[in-house]
Amino acid sequence: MASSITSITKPAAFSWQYNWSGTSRFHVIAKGRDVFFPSTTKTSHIFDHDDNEEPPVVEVYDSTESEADVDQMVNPPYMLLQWYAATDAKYYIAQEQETVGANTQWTTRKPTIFANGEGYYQFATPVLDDEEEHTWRIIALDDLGHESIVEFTMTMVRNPDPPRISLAYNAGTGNLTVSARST
Amino acid sequence: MATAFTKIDALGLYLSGATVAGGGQPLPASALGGYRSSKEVQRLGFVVRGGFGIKPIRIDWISGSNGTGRSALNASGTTSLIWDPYDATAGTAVSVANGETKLIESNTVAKSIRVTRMSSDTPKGNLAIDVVDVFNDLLGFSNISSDDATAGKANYRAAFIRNHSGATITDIKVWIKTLGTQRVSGTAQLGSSGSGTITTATASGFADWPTSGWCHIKNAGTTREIVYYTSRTSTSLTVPAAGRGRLGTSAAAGANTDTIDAVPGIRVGLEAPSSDAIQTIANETTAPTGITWNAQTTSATGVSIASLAASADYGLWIHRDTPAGMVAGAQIRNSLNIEFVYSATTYSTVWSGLYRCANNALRLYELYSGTDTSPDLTATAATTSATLPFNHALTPPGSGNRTYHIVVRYRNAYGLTSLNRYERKTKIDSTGALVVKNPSAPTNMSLQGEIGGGGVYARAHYTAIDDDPVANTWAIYLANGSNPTGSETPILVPMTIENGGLFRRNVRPLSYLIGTFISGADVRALIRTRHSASGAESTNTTPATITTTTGPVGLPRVPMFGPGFGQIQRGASLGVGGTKIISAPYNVYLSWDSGYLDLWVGTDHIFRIRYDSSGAANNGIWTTYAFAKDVISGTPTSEPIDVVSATELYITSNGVRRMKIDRSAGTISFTSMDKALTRRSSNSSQPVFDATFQTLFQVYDPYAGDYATALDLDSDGTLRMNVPWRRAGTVGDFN
Repeated sequence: MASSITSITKPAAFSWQYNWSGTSRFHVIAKGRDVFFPSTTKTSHIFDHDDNEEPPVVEVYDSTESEADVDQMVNPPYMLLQWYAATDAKYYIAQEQETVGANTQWTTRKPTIFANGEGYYQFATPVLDDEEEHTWRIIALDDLGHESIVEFTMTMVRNPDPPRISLAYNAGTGNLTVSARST
Repeated sequence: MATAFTKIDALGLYLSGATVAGGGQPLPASALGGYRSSKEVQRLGFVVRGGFGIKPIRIDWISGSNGTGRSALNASGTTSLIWDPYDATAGTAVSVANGETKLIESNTVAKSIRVTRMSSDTPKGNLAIDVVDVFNDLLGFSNISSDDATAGKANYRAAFIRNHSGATITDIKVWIKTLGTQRVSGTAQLGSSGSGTITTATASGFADWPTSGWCHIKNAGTTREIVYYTSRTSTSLTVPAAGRGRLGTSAAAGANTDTIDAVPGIRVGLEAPSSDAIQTIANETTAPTGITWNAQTTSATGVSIASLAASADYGLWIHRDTPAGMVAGAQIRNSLNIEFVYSATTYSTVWSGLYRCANNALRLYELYSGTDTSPDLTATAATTSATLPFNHALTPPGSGNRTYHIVVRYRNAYGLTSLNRYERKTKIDSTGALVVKNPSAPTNMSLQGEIGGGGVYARAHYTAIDDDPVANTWAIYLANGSNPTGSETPILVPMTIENGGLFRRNVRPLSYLIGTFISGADVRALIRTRHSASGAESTNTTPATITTTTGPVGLPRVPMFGPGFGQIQRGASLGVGGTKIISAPYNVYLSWDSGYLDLWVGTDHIFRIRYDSSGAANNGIWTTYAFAKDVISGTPTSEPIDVVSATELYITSNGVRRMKIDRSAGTISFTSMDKALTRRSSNSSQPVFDATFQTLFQVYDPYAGDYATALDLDSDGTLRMNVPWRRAGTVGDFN
């Protein structure tokens, strides 16, 4: 149940080393996806991260544990759009609906998903904001530019990001103050 | 024959809400009665996880009896397919022609899949798919907002049960699927009204029940009451007053013989269509009229349809209950059992749907604290706050130090927390004062002599594992012939810290020339890491040592260039005669020529050191100043000659002022005097050379044709002289 992590250390700026134990092989999950493919026998890994104060969220489960207990697998932080091939479609476009001021607009996130004859197509969105409603659409286009559209809307509910906080101890009051961190 | 729309696939579920029978109404939230939609309800969803060569297959429907998990559709021969579900063994191969829709059964008949072959391409390989539950379909309803969860609400939707087989289906039954093992009420039951507790005498009897939800209480098989519980232990359910008498029941006192079942918060009712339509409700919170609701948990007591002709429909209403004060959840399940007889065979399947419930009050920062150990992230948070900043009091220990391990997480409205587990540590002493943590000790410490010279390098690595604060300075303590203790004045060397780029994760190396030593010198260095702002320093005590093995004394110092490891670039050798400005503002300078070295301040000739190894009679340190015994100390601003003013100068040794020249008093002060030199030569290119443990005064020896050390000032303040002290009366005596 993703409890195999034994320590988290910081070997250098913006670098975070996770160490874990258990029964290999290990699945290492970050942002809802496997870090290693296939699973790994490694018992540590250094993650580059854009936050120098808080390491990335990583979960590890080993060969005796169940994926069903891994929070990021149960509540993935992204949408996976899946559709079956449209007749005569040559390619597809993935767009996200964004709100700009009082208006909404469609922003292309994946301009060309070529028809590959495999039948099923998928597009995994980036990590999406928690507790927000997200609307995406897939546009199928043929050689003549004719298009058909299918739209997906869902409320993203996932494990929130770690809070961006800093701690400061005041020996005079004995209080540890938890404050918002700007960087 | 695995014909589609037969067997387990004979009975379909469709959305309502269409304006004509079979009309295009795709939205579960619009399934409010009226006509049957053409949109079939998906009992389970799926995610394609990869496959090879089986591309012309489209998955149309997955039986609700399949387990959720990784399953596979395998090609067999050139036209056949095999269904291998997650929780059953694979069935037999079914031939599927191009354009055909077929039911592919596993070895367990109810666990089936309906597919359509979309191409004449030969199916090959396999298609791995994850079978998954579906959120917010018709049965799952929409998510419950925080306001609705607080106030309570009732929602209604309608589906159509459709016989989409070609034969009559009989004995159709629909009932509530339980969500945990049935138990018998134990020592505590609910009273006739109000809040209360239900217990079971079975150890861990509620372990497989949802953490909150509905409980169907029966007395001898007859419903006594359905309640909503807000929390549970493994043997006890907590029921609030608002949780009493749910789903059409009334509060009633329990008994210790009652059976209790975990159930979803739904009930169902049937409506026979009239002219293909059932009633339409104005909105999802309007109850349909004339419906006999049923919340029973057995096939015998659920709703039933005796017979449904081929292509006939029947309305199925669903009521979802939201009690006031409903507990938030990220995954709440509604589930129904469905059973029917098709072609003299009874088939059973399941229809499930998921939804979520929010509670804005759950949005909190949660601080977990561990004392001298990691915090328990599964326990209740020590301090919570809806906003930042907030305070958490730390209690000092009675004695010694205490380290608090702090993790701050955030919880969202659905009860999910952030998954960070990195601990920030704060160490305080018994007075409550902050104890700064010492940085980690360096590794790979060594002293290494340079090739072909007397220079010694201190080398080490620093890996800032979990250091907070992280060290940013090297502190090198030196001693000569004994171990440094850390009480010496250290050489401080800033660390090079990579905050980004390719080398940011590299350990931080030290390679610092600590000085040049004569051959055979016993050099010892204690190398530590330091955080400059706090002064916190690593506590390692074992020094690195080296006994130098430089070349012979008096080797000419020539420029040495080269790219090889261990080589350094030197300046030009000291010429026989020359002048060096020490302080331009005060006009302090050295001048030298064959046989002597002078120190001047303007026109004041402080001293002249004469040396000729042939034994010249005028060898000596000539000065008009008096020698005085005094312990001199202090941190210089420059080395080896530290000019404070025109009247106050110091000679340093090992980074400390050890000799004072006081022009006002006319004295040269130091700790002691000795006739034996520590060093004979430094091979230095400087007339006054800081050789780390000694500062050497060098004179060009006209007899030997090289520089030699005439005096050295040791790090303990001892002036060691290879020449006599010559107290001069006038400058002319120096000559």
